[in-house]
Amino acid sequence: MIDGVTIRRRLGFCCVVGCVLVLAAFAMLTQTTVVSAAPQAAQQATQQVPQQGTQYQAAAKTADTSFPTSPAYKPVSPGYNPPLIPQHADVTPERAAWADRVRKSYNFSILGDNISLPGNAAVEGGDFIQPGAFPTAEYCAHCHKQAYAEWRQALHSNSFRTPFYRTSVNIVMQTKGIQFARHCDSCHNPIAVLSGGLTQDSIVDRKFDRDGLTCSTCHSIVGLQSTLGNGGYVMGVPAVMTDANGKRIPGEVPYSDILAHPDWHARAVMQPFYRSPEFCAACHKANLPNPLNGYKWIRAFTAYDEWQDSKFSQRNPLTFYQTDFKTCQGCHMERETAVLQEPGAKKGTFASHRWLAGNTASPFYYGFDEQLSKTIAFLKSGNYLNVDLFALQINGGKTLTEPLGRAAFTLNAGDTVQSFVVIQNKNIGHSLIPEVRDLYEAWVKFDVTDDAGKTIYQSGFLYPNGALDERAHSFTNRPVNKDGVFVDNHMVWTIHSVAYDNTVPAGRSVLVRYRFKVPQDAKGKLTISARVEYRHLRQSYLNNIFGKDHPAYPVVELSARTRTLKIGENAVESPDAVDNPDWMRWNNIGIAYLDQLQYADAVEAFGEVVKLRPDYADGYTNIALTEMAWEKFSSARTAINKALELAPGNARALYYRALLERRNSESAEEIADLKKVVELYPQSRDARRELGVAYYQQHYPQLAIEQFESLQAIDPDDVAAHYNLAILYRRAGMKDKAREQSALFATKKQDPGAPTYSYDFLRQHPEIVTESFPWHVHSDLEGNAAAKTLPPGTSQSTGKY
Amino acid sequence: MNVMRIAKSTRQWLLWTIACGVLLVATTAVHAENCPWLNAATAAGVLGGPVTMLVTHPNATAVSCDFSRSGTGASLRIDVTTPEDAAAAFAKAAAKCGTEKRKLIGVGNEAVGCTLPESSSTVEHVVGRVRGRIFVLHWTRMSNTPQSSEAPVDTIQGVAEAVAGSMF
Repeated sequence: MIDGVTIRRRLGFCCVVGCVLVLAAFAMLTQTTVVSAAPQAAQQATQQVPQQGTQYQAAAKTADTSFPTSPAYKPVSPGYNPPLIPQHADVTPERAAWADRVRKSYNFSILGDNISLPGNAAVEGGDFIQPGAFPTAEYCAHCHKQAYAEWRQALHSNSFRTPFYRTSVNIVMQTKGIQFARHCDSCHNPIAVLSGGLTQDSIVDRKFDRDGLTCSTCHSIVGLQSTLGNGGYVMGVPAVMTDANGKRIPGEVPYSDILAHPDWHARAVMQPFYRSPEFCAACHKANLPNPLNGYKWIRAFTAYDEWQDSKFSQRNPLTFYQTDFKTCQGCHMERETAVLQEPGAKKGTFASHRWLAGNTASPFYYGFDEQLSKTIAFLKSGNYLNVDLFALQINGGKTLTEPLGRAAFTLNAGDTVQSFVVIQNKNIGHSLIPEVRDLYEAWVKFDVTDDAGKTIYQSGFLYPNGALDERAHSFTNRPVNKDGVFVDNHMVWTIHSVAYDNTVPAGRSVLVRYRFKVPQDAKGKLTISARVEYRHLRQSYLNNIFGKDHPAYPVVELSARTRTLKIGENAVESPDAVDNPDWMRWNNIGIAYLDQLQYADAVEAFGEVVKLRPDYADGYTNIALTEMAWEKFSSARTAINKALELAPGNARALYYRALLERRNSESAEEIADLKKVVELYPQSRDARRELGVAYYQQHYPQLAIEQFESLQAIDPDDVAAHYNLAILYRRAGMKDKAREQSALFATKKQDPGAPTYSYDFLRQHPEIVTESFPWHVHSDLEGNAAAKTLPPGTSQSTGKY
Repeated sequence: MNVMRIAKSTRQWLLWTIACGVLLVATTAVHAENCPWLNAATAAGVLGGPVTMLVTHPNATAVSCDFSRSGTGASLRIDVTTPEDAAAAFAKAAAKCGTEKRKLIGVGNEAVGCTLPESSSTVEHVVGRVRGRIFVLHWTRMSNTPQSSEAPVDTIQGVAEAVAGSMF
């Protein structure tokens, strides 16, 4: 018997199944949606195009031609600046209408009422802006032909469309959701972010993707947030003209208006801070925030901080060498002769909009031959690196032949030789290699050949399939996820730790050791050579992008040194033109020893420096700082006093003396010395930090707060500043600020458990585990196999890493 | 009476179920599948006005997106397949261009394009490969519709870049 309830259930079931079937058929066969998407020209382009004769033309002759200072730009902020929060105000009706349309379907996700999170991009008015509000590059090219030609081949114009980027960002879109791509595209595609294009049901015509960072993105930036990066700019409503009063006039204008008032044009599209390193910091500094990775804040890269720490910034008293001030633009936008029409040229030269750097892959892929050849020439120019075949250790003897070429020695057939190669990051304003170092590939190619040219030993070779010798010494890092697996394809949101980072900071040197055996039948001579080679990008990533059937991407030799070793007696030689002077050779290996924790060797090397240059105060300071690391404080004090005797008031020596004074409880002297350093280098983060600590320890809380706040203005991510300010604010009764600093410290400090992820990775990869040791030798000789240094139970590599 | 009560109750349940079904269909229709390679707004920009989008799955490894402008004949079709032999499939699809094909640099692993005149329209045809997948673009331009200032070959190259970029 079927009762009413059963009938009802069965009918209901049938109806639901029926609806689902209808739905499925509907979805599969008639997936038709009328999309009210109109072409950009009709709906998105709402530029205000003033006609000739409008008011702003009237007072042209009296216009101020100087660049205005943007009120939004604060080069040195007194405190921590969080990303700007949209205000949803002060927008034109056209923009408001666009924003309302976007907002209807925009996925704010869990990221709050902010259009760019987890990126930091901000825009005036704080609301979505029509993509058509950005003048196109072609519009600019009408007059700026030289700039356009350079930009079109540069990485900035290809910042979004290249397969090298898309492969990575597509993964974040497909696995986490397109809204998370706002983190990457705040820099790679600002128009997509700010127009509201990065959402599931986007109504944005993405034609602008081809132009990446187009003219009107950079030239519409009216201010900078703090130097947090991740797109830490403030985009203005794009304008190519101002009126006589300096008020920006949005959108494209007739060329005749610009030609009539070029000063007003310049006022709209140029800002003084465009020439500053902080402008570059907006994007050449990145972190992985908690909303992106669901883990904690992690530093991704920071070319800006590396520059700030380098000798080129003149902001850091602790560099090993000094030089003239040079900004990012000074190297990457060197003036070139303008061969095409370029109103921005001065005396026939124009600041290059090629931004020559390390990107050879994009011009290679797009066939931009001129960009490629100029990039390679740039990489080989500038005396950026120095390769020094510094020493030989023969048959494990305690006495080295050093510096090689300046000391006689005997080499015999059958000898075992360890070669000491010093690579100096001599004139790069950032690390070798910078930024996304998990994708780049730079390594040392070391070769030993006999008289007949036969290879005796080699490291850093390429296999026929293009892969790099796994045991090469490479200037790279190895980010790993929570399973201890290498984070491939730049899936940065999965990074939990870095197994090792062998990049060379600006101004420092690294020592790479190779051991090989001279054949028993060797005669005549051996040739040893060390080359720093570079490929953008690593082969395994190229394979991921294209499959294995792609053409070979360029490998560029950045720097090299070759020497000939005679079998028998070797006399002293004259230095080669590319060689550093002897004192600097000693200094560089001293720096390398110091970084490898070989303190005795470092002190000995710096001792040779002061023998050769007894007037060189930094030589004594180097001895002192090494002895401090070695905890030989008494002799360190002697060395630092000598340095200050040679160079009274030397900021670097004063800094280290202050640390010694702290140890001796000479607090007044410590504070006095650090104050001098801060006076000389007000943007020294180290001096500010230590002076803050000194004030804190001596119970001067307000003075300590001032120092830590100044430190945050220099580096808003400094964990010591967060930690100390959290305490100091709390004691001062400033509970909200204390809570904020506590939270920032908690998220930015390193996860104490993170190294375990690295150990997991290293256990799985014995072929490269030695790269994580500060001091290691590359060799094929028995007894040097990396696997033998591993703990029991370690397995062999399982493949790609 | 009892039968009547059951029938009334069943009718109410039926009505609720149908209402839920209609709501479900309507909701799903609003969230119809987007084209994974190109959004409708960008296609609208190419075709010069609002478009109708149709996404189909000819088989398990193929996706086709059809964008068309109602009443104009203008359309843009994107076919993406994953053949067993991508190189052979690429060569076969590219052969449609005959001797008129031009190599498109900076599109996928490799790509070619050609312009195929038809009676009342012109077709911009692009064949490209991204790793083991092949895409074919077919843009029908009507001769009686206004053209944008951009050359059609540049426009279709931009579309090809976008499609290939989404496939990486």
